[in-house]
Amino acid sequence: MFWLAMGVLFFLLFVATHILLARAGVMCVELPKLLGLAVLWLAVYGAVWAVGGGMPAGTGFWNVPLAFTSMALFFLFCLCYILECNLVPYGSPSMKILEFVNRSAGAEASHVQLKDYLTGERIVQSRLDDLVASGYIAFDGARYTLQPGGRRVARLMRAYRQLFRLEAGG
Amino acid sequence: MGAGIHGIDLYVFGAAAAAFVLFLVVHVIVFRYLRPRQLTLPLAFSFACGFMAACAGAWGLIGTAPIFPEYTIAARRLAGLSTPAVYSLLTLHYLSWVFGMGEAAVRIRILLELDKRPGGSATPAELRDAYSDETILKIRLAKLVGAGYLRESAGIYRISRSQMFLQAKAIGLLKRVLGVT
Repeated sequence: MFWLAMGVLFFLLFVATHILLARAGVMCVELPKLLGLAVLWLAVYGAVWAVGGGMPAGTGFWNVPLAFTSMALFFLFCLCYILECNLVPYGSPSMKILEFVNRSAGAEASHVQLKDYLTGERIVQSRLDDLVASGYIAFDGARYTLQPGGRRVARLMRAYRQLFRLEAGG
Repeated sequence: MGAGIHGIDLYVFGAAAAAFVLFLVVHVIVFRYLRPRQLTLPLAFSFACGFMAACAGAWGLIGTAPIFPEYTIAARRLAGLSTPAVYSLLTLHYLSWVFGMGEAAVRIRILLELDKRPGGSATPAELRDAYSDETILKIRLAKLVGAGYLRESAGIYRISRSQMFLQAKAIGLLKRVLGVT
């Protein structure tokens, strides 16, 4: 239990550090920075374990040696948090639809109302701007063009979709 | 017992990883060969297959002939519970980061639309014709109705399940805590 509790403690430290850094304006919800922060705390956690810090391993409930499992749980919890952070800038279109229906009169909405609302949210345009900002595509004022990084992601996802024979998503 | 990775620790992670691999295999077979029309049920079935395997792994620790009898029953129960927990989180992340990203992400769809054009290039109007906010609405409404989150009757949509609002609330809270406007 000691090591599992350590995993939870380090996860809370990760979240607290992120909140402090976000409030200080050092980082917000950028995926690479969040992953970097999680890896940094994982390295600290690994170092604590490697130097023999914490409770010596035993056969009881409190000292059962689950350090590796707790590190895995720590990182998986961090990814849950990062997943939520990933939705902060734009929110998912599905969530926007549900929220709109929920706050409409009588908690119901017609297709036309939903179309007007979603068009106003400029979902595709906001993602295009984001892809340009992150360098996956370029915009020269007339055309959007895939950049090498974007092409790699597209090819990878196309192969993945072919594996499952999925239809066009989005 | 000294420092280092112990057998029970490796067993927990190994059992969870094996259950996750089973989930992946079932998931590929179901989607590739059965071609389901909606996503929820086949994903739930694939998850359940892996979860049963994770529970079988946990049973190896707490059953009548435990693999690590030197540990107390409380220690083995704790390790046993960790197996389905690690498996569930692995699956959640796969579904969110890989399957969900490939299946639903707007940015990925834009990249795919550009990639299938000569020179990987398109004007805003060409892109709009291939993929617009209206297309997203059509796809998402079909998914939300298919998964039972919305009910549709004579062109009017109503909420039928509210689980997704928990996530909306969590995101709202996160925005406030992080000071994001």
